[in-house]
Amino acid sequence: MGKAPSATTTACQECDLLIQRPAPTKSNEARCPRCGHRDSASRYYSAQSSIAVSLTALIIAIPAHLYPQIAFTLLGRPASYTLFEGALTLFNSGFWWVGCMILLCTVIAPLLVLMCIFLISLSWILRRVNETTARLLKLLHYTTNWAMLDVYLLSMIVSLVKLQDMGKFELSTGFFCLIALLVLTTAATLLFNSEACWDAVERQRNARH
Amino acid sequence: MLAINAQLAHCRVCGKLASRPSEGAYACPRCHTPLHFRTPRAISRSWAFTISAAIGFVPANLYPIMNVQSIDKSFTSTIMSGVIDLAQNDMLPIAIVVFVASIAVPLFKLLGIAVLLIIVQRGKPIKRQQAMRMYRFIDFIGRWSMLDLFVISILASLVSFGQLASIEANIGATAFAAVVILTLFAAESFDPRLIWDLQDLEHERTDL
Repeated sequence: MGKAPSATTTACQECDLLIQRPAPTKSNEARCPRCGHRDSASRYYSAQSSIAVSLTALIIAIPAHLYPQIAFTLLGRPASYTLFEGALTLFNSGFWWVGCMILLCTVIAPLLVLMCIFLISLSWILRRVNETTARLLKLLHYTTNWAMLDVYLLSMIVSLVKLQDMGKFELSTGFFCLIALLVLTTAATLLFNSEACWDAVERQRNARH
Repeated sequence: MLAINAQLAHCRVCGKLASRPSEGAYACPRCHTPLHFRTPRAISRSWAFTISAAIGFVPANLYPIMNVQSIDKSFTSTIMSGVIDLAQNDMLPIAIVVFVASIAVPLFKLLGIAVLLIIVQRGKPIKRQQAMRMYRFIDFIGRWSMLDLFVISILASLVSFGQLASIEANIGATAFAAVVILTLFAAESFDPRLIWDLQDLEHERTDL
């Protein structure tokens, strides 16, 4: 086995080059000199803003999911659409596999990401970083890639264009909440720094021994 | 100097840089997931997902993804016929968006991963920066092919007026969902560090 590396030494995630990680700054992320990979772990982590943004996003998520996003009328007959109903329709018509994926990418994964960021930052602020924090950090790692609210927003626009000559539609409350949710989720992901939190978990473990 | 040459491994889950023995299984000291210098069997796993996705791509495009029924007409729509339909109705920008997301992206992604895998397996010197740019691009675009599935769920749930008009999902949607997932896994299984283990065609900077 090799020597244990110093605390500031890291390896580039994408090309394995050993680099000295600079002290985090607010302005920019460090880049790997060989492959140019942005090291998101070198970002400045503010638990307060992470909490603020993720909590706001979680609150906004309630109307974004419960209120209809599109109201549609065809020959005087109304119909409305919420995220759950979309997935449910697919379930009911036998496409449970597609329904599951849509539910995962638009509801479950984004909510899990926000919950993880919120709870981890909360444990950081309360100085209660422990093994649960470690588990949440792992969960966050596996769910981040599946949150696809940005793709979903574009697909709403495509659907509206497809619907425009069938009937009349109106964007309602849920739609605007969804945009806010998307912006806030992106902000929360950018403000968060999992490396700083993993470090805290390790410090906590060392302190206990 | 590379981490692997210093007997160090970078954890892909938690980002920990830790020393590990050169042989045998070893868990990351920080997150307890298996820690490797390079993802084991990355190439064969990635090939498996790529080939499965390529097979799924055929039914995804041949079978209809939607049944559209209204008073005057009733038809099934495949991915391509949906694009053509949009283009004919003077909605070219949206037609291009759908074409790129549903056909160009999965196809490009499959070809791209296959090319990267072949490059890594040949082991000949390459332009690494260029290969890396391709890898990052593939990794970034993959998620956008979910677009058509979301559209189906929105349309199917909004347009259900019985005899008057209704849109339903069809078998192609299942195949397409499988393709999207498989391409996401294919890109995820690939280990970009393998690209950098190859010799570079261009001037090698030895000071790094």
